[in-house]
Amino acid sequence: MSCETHREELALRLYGELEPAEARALEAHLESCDACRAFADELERGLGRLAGAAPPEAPVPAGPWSTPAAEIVGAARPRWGRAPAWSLAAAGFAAGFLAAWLGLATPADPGAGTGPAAPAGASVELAAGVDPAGGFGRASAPPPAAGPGSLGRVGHLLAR
Amino acid sequence: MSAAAERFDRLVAEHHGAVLRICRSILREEHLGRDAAQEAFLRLWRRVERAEPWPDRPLAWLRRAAVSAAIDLRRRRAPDGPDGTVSTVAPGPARATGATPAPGKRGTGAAPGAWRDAADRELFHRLEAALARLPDGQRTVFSLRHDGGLSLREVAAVLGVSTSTAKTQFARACLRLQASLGSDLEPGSEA
Repeated sequence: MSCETHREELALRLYGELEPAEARALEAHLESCDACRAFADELERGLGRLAGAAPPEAPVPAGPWSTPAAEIVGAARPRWGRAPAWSLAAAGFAAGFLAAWLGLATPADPGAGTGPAAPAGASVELAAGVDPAGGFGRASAPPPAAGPGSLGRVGHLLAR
Repeated sequence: MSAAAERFDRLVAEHHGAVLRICRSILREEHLGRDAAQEAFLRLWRRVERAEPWPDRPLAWLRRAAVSAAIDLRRRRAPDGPDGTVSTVAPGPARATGATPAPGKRGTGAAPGAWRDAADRELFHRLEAALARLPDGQRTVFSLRHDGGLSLREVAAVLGVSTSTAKTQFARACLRLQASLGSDLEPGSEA
């Protein structure tokens, strides 16, 4: 096994990620290799400080995230709350359009396009099954069906 | 409140810290980490809404969702890669924003407190810059292990790669950081 490989193992050892058998083989190599032993000391003084400083916990921030479930569910709620409004807007618009087309409406008819203002394209968006509560304003990314998301690209990268 | 909503509440309370930590470790900025963490939980909430079965292992599912959401967000913030793959996109927050990371801003969200105890702000800045220069795969694995609170076995699981691949990527990241930071990390060098 090359010194380069042993130096990778030294890095793994810093983080406690070396298997016992690997650790024993590494120790045996260090006893016979001055260069790797010197590198081990250098690594301990350098990256070893980072490894020792790895934070044990990620504190949950205060503020609105002190009740994160309510925050998250609240972010999803508009999906339910808006639906009737969109439905009414679309129904009103359709009824007005139909009435105008049939010649039953006068120019002053309040039903002709004066319903609740719906964003242009909103009905198309909803009809296409897009989640209006999608995260980050992302309208096109479908929610995962069977898993939490595709990591295939990362896997492909790491497998290189 | 329905039983499903109560269960969701419990999961959020139990795992929010872990999910947030994973997202922050990848995105290196507090507010982006929060966005990605929220997206990860929203993905679970949408399953609840659709009355889909709960994941058999909710924490493992949430970890994957967190990594996926964070990588998605990172990719959207740096859409300049020629082929759109992770390896060529988002070479770190510094290039993503076109600005030099401010000391104490990036990374403080990923590793609050403890890193600052080990290094001054200047060293912290250098660390973040060195991280940003790592290849994406190495940086992701290093961040998840060092800041994300996952073992390399868990990192491999969330990324869908073998443990040996994760170990190799992590070790190489470590050696590159050691080489690029040189003696900056050694005691007394930050003075």
